[in-house]
Amino acid sequence: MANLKRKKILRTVNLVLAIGLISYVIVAGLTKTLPYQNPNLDQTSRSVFYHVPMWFAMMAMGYTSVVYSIMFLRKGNPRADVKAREAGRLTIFFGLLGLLTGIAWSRVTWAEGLPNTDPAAWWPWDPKQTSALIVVLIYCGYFVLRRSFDEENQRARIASIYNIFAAASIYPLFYVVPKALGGLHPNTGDKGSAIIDMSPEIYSVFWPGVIGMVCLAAWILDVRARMAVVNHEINELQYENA
Amino acid sequence: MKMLRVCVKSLGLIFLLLTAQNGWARDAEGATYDVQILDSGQVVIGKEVNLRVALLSQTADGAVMYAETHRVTTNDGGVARMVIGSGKSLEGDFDQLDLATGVYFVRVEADPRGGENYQLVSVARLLSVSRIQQWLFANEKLNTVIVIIAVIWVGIIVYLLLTGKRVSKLESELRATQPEAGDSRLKK
Repeated sequence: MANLKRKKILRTVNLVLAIGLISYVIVAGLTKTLPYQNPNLDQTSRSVFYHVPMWFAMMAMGYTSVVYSIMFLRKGNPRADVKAREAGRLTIFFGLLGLLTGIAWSRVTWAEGLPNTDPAAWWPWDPKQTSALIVVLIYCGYFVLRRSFDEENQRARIASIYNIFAAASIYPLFYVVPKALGGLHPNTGDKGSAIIDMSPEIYSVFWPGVIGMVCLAAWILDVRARMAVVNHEINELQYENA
Repeated sequence: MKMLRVCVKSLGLIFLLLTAQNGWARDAEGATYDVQILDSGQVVIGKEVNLRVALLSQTADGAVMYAETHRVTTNDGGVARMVIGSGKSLEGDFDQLDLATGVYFVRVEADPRGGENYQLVSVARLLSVSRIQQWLFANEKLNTVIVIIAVIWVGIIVYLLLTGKRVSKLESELRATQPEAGDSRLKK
C-alpha cells in the first residue's frame, strides 16, 4: 500500500509539472520579449522552446526504454518489456516531432533562399539532423524486430538486446558525430553550445520547456504502459479461464 | 487511442505552423530603432540630424562592440528612424555580433543640428520587438491561435487524466479479483 501511495504522489507531481510547465512555455514562448536576434534567426529563435525539448524527451524515453530492457534481461519480468516497448514508441514519436519542427525551422532560416522544389530546402543533410533521423530509424528497427518473432519471451529477449545497442547509439549520433563532422547546428564542429551561452530570458523559458516536455513524456508513458500491462493481465486471465 | 492520435497529430501541426509563422515575420537585416530628437527641449521636426549608435557589451558603460553613424530626417513627431546595422560603420562588424545570446546595450547620441557635436540621447538594453507578438496582438488571429492551442492542450490533458483514471480503476479491479497475485501478477 505504501508503494502504491508513493507512486500516486509521484504521478501527481509529474502531472502538475507537465501541465504547469508546458502551459507556461506555450504562453511565455510566444509572448516573452527576447534579446535581439540576428536577422537570420529573428523570431524563429522561439522554436528552440519547443523543438529542442522534444529531443530531450526523445532521449529520456530512449534511455528509459533501455533501463526497462535491462530490467527484463536481468529478471525476466514481462511487465518491464511492455514498458520498454511503450517507451520505445514514445522515443519514435518525440523524434518525429523533433524532426518535423526542425524541418520547418530550417526551411525559413538555413534554406530561406532555396525554392520549394529543391530537396535541400527541406533536408539540407546537416550531420546532426541526419544523425537524428538515423536514431529514429534505429528505433523503428526495434519494432520491426519485435514483429519478426511470435514467441513472446524470445521476442522480448532479442528486442531487449537490440534496445541496448539502440540506446548506445543515441549519444554518439547526437553529439560525437556532429561534433566531428561540423554542420549548421550549434555545438557541431567548432561551434559552441547554444545552451551554455543562452541569455537569461531564453534560459527561463527553455529549461522549463525541457522539464515540462520530459514530464509530459513520462506521463504519457505511465498511462500507456499501465494500460498495456492491464491489457496483458486481462488477456492472461482470459487465456487461463478458457 | 484514436483521440490521442488526433490530439498529438494536431499538436505537431500547430508547432509546425507556429515555427513557420515566426519565420515569415522576419525583418530585413538590422534592427529598426526609433528615437525622438530634441534640441534645447524643443522637438526637432522635419530636419536632417546626425546620429551615432554604439552597441555596448554587457552593461550600459561596457566596451563598444560596434558603432556606426546615420543621417536621417525626423518626422512630424520629431522621431528619427534608423536601422541599426545599415549605417556608416565606425567600429566593429555588425554581422559578427552574436546578438541572439549576448547581452547588449544600445547607446544613441545625436547632433540635432546635423553636425558632429554628439550628445547622449539614451542608453538601453537591446531587446527585440517581438514580431510574433505584434502579429498575435495586432489582429484577431490571436484569439484563433490561442483558442486552437488551448483546446488541443486541454484535450490532451483531459484524455490523459481520463485514461489514467480508467487504468487505475482496472488495476483496482484486477487487484480485487487476484488478491494473492495482485500488482505483481506479471512477475513470473
